[in-house]
Amino acid sequence: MRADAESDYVDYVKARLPRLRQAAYLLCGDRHRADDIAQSTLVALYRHWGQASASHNLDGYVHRMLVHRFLDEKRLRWSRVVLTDRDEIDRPVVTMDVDGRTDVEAALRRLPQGQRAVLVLRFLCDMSVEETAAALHCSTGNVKAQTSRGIAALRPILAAPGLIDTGVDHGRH
Amino acid sequence: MEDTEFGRVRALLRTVEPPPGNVDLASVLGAGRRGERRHRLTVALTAGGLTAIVLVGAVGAVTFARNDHGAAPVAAASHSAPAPAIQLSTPPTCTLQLLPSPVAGDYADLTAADRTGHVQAGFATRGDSFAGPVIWRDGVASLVHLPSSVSAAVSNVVGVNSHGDLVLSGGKDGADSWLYRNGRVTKLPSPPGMDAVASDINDSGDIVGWGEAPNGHFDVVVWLHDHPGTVHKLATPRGVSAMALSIDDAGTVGGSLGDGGTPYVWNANGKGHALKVPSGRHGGKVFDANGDWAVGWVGDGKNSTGLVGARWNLRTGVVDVFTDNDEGVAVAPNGDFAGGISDAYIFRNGVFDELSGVSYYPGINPTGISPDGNTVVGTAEGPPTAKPGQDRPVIWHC
Repeated sequence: MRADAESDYVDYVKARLPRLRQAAYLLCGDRHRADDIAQSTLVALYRHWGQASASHNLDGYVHRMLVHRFLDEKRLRWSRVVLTDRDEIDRPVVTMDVDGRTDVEAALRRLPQGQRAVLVLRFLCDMSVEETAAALHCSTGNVKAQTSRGIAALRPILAAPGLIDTGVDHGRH
Repeated sequence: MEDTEFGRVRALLRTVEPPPGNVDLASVLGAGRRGERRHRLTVALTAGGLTAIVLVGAVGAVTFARNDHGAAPVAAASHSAPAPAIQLSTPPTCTLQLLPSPVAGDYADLTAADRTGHVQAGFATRGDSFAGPVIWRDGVASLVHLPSSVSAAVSNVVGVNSHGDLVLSGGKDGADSWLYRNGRVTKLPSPPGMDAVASDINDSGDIVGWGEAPNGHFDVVVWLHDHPGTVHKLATPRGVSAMALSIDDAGTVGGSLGDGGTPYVWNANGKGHALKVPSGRHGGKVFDANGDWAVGWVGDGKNSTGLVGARWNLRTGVVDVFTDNDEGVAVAPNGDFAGGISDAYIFRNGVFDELSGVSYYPGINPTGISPDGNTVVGTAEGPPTAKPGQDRPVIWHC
């Protein structure tokens, strides 16, 4: 890689590495696996930096690489996120710890994988419905349905006073 | 109201901080540079026509760190084990060709391949809908028309043999499997109290997969060609869980005890044995077994969840570990194999060669390899900005 291109790559990685680790961790729920996924994504990005940096949506490009690494990392050839239409919001996903606080991380872990992946891509990676559908190889309708179910499952947390400090939503839908 | 809730979800996700990790800019940059050097060397060797002696030195040092015979761990630079018994020749140069979709304008994923190299299968996507299973015979695509009672439930093709028998999966929760043979569809039964999914079919028509019980226990199951309506479990030591991903034409089943706990194979009589995992590594899984060979992965080490490519000789028990390559996916009877995730490779005549991607986005996943190692088939992922399902079936001629 040319020095100026590598400098651009370094700047990008410096700025995005924490968020990529966070996304990988939320997807897989394991620190070591998250490290592997983030590292392999960024190593592949190094190889393909020329193409990637020319993309009009570099973050989208990288996030899609990340989600593919996550899916591939499961090492099952048919193990794409199963975005079925089954109703999975019955299971309890919200618990309180001994201090009465909501265990956000545990609640996210208990979400079905498809719902969790959709929420992470849409709301942490700021991908549109269309981009999320492309990354997960499913329809936009499916993404919207999974979003709705995931949010419904998390609603008790979302309503907990003082847990999160939200501002105006600037995301794409 | 929706915007506010979306904003709260966004804020909620940002409250989760992963524990401190080991990945940082220096490690990423170092790995990226090493990978680029390896890539350049591969390209140079492929184009250069260098002598075999030069290839032995260069490839041995760069593309696989050691050939592990189960001895104590040996660093690549101080390799003291016998040299790999691999004959080197001029590296292959593989050219990429897109396979057609059955209907112009459709996209398709190639998800299964037979062991003759002539027949592959997958599914077509039209718009953002599943358009049905596809069979390629010597590069010619045809859409498979399923009975309406089944077509709505099928979502994937997991196996195909040279006769065009298809193993399909789908249904609610993705836990149903079917056999398509001679225009007829048969639902594959599950063991009592289990949901079973198929994963592969051999040329005789024997099908393998695994069933999972509500308590999380899982068993390898087989549906024999002459009785697809009957399911059999394969035994494991102490009855531990096991899964299977492949069955070859001799009836050898490849998979693992647990989900990657120990690489494992069963012979045609159902007798199983564990494959060697080199000292210092942990776990493993066979993705494909074919004749004397099996390929898959082994764990990178105790302090890492990384996985590296592995190839086992089922006759001698020797395992080769390829520290710079992801898992092997499909192996030929002569030991050549294809593997990788998103970046695909072929190991042929003792040399690794990169399988090129499609220009817009080089995410490629190999699925099968021909018996002579001359062709590899797989799927090229659509570009990041593509609509869902805009993948392409591909074949590499090596």
